[in-house]
Amino acid sequence: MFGKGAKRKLGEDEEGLEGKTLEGSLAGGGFGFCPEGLSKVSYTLQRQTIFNISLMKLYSHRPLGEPSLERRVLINNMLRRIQDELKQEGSLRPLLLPPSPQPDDPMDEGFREAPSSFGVLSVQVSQPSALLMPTIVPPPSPHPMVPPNSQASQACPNHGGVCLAPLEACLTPASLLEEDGTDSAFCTPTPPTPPMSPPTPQPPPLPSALLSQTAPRVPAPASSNDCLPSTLSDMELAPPTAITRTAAANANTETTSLAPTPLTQPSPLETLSPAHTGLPRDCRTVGVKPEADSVLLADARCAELPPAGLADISSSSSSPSGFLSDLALDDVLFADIDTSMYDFDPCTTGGAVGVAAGGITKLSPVVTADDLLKSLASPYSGPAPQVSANQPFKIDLTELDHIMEVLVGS
Amino acid sequence: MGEDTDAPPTLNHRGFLPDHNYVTEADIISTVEFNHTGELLATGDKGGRVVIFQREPESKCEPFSQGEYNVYSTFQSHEPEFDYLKSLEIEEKINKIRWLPQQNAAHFLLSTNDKTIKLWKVSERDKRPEGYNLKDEEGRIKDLSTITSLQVPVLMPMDLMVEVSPRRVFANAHTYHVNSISVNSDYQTYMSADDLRINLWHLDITDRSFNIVDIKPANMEDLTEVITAAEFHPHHCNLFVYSSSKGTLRLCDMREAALCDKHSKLFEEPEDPSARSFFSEIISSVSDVKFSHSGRYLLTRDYLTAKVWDLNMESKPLETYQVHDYLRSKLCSLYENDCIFDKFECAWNGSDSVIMTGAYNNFFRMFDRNTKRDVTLEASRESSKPRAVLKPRRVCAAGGKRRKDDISVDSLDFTKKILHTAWHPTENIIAIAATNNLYIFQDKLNSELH
Repeated sequence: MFGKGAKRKLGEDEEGLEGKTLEGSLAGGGFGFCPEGLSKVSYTLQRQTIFNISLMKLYSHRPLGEPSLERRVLINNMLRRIQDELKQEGSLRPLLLPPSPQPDDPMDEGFREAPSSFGVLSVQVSQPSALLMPTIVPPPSPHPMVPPNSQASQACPNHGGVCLAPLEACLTPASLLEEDGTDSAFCTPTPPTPPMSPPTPQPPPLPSALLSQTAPRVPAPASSNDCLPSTLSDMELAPPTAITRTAAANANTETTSLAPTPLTQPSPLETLSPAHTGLPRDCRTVGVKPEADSVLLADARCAELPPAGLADISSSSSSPSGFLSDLALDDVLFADIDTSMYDFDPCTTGGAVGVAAGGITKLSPVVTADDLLKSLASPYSGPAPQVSANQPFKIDLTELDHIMEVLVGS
Repeated sequence: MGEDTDAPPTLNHRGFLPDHNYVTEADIISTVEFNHTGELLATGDKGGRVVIFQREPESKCEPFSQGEYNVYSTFQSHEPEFDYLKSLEIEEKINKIRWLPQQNAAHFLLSTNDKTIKLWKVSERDKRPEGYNLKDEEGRIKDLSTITSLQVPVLMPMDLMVEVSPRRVFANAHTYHVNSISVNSDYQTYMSADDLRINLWHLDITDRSFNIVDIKPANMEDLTEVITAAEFHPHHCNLFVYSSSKGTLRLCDMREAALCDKHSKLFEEPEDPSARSFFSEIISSVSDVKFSHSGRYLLTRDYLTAKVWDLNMESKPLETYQVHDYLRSKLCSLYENDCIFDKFECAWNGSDSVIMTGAYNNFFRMFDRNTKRDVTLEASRESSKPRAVLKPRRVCAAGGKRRKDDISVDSLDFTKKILHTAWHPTENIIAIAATNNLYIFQDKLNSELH
């Protein structure tokens, strides 16, 4: 389960079955208690699961009646604690991880944005795949998504919310913002369908709070602490899908910024998201600076791309294949790194938890980032190991294709 | 305590559709309370109604019918309201009922929903005057020309009629949801507690209340703790206790200051580091607090345990009883389906020797503090016929050795929860609310408490 030839630590032997470990750790671990080896993996997984559940609970639509204050306070405390833990871990990670192969300097700049997007994915992922991501923690900035070099230029009030960058290209395909199903492919998986009411226009503090959560490694204590608990004083309900969307936005910002053509098509993408004024704004702030820094990266990348990938990129950015080929780049980037540790099947852990719960509720299996990358890249890089858990994401991608076509009118 | 298992319990239940599994949400019982003599038992439900049961006087002819509770009165206490300012519905669900000690022929009770407390007068009428001079039997005005003589009206017996009338309405004092009310031992004041504030009222004054506890932070985003329950001391009218969502109890003395934000005593058990989990805080939230009849002890209920505290010892509880520790490994699932937020109540018996609390699957538990024995019983129509002896139940771990009639943890029904229980103030009679059904169990053999 942990790769061929990898030694299991003594602690893992004592834990017993994987499923049992998960359940046991659920009871025994948490908030400062950091077991080694296998338990650490399941600890991170369960922490992320609880994080997701907590978020969903806070933002699920309640009809008419006022939700219980005690319940909200307890869930809020839970989220805060997990967030603090993640922040602590985020500041520790660069020290703990072995040095990963460093790309050239221009690529480094591009990677500076990577932690913010892949940080999302790596948090949910087991420890081995976290090792994969180069973990460069940008110095603290007031707005969690704004890279440090642009800190001076962006004087956003933390509590006031998202900075309104000049109206430049929203680099995230709007279809991703609008489609709930596809977003789940790129961010933390959610448990079986929460009632998702259409998002109402929300005050900015909420999206920025969510952004700060999705990038736990970016230290932004002030803004996150202020914005997240605003749910208590804010009687209105936040968009339920906000967290998944911003996560998707973060994930996709990096990839789409690699392609030069999307940059030249701001208007169609903007008009595609009329209802979600809050979120594209967030995207813009995320997207602005990465665009500036990673144009270089895109140029560098394009040279490396196989001709098929390049052809896809040069075609219209609105085509989904162009988007997918961006993700193929990542597969290329990480191809030289040993991925044998990634054979760990998320379905077992997820299933074990669900089974143990009996008649209560099943938690959906957690999918790791590398699985996503593999599955997404597979149409373009030839035969690749298919992970069964990614079937739903494939369906989501075809939906994405379809919706993109509809929206663009092709 | 084994007495209840030997006694024939009386099964009274009410439900509009007793033979079906369909449960009308409005019929779900939300509170149960005996009055100070135990003669009356009041229940409140989600639909805002209050049903009062009265114990039949013991009759010598039929020994088994003695002391049965029958419906005495039903009335609509609260109606659903709408808060136009916040665009939110105010539920009519009765959160708590508290009886006032009886001072004359009438009975008084306080009932509260999330926002408004009402004082109800319950009185009987069994005589009516007859023989009016100006009105005839039907109440019509008599023709004056027909009146020839003067008569004195006479009180004649009539069928018993129970009249319930609202005497006071204490409104507009709570921004948050009222979770507790408690009548003071001075019989003149009472307090109402919501999530962040506790107010002191005089029973006769409805347009004013004193705020005695306020834990609302200046910035609501700093809010991490709420008030979950509050109660006055049974004998000392200046003392009260309130519990929090962080598992602390605070004893306050009203003589110290007008605003009792500063506690006199803080009861908190230090956290066991080996039992730490993500859910430690949530399961430590106290859902109910009750003073013992003696006033010496406190009984608290959190998600997995019931604890008895000595008022003189703040550092840790005197006794801790595991109610359903087998749920400890299932906390994540219970968090997901919201069961972890269920608020179970607890109760003392009259002599403070036994404590009782509810659990899932329509189970309820009783712990004898002296013998350290405990029993799990089930309140359900299927498992017990009227006048049958209750059989002790057992929950076994999944996959463990299973005896006949044991229930496995995985087959527990988490929708059947016993949140509200009450114990007769002097006798061994208990009232258990199981969703929309009320069960009353009596211990016949040992009616007198020892």
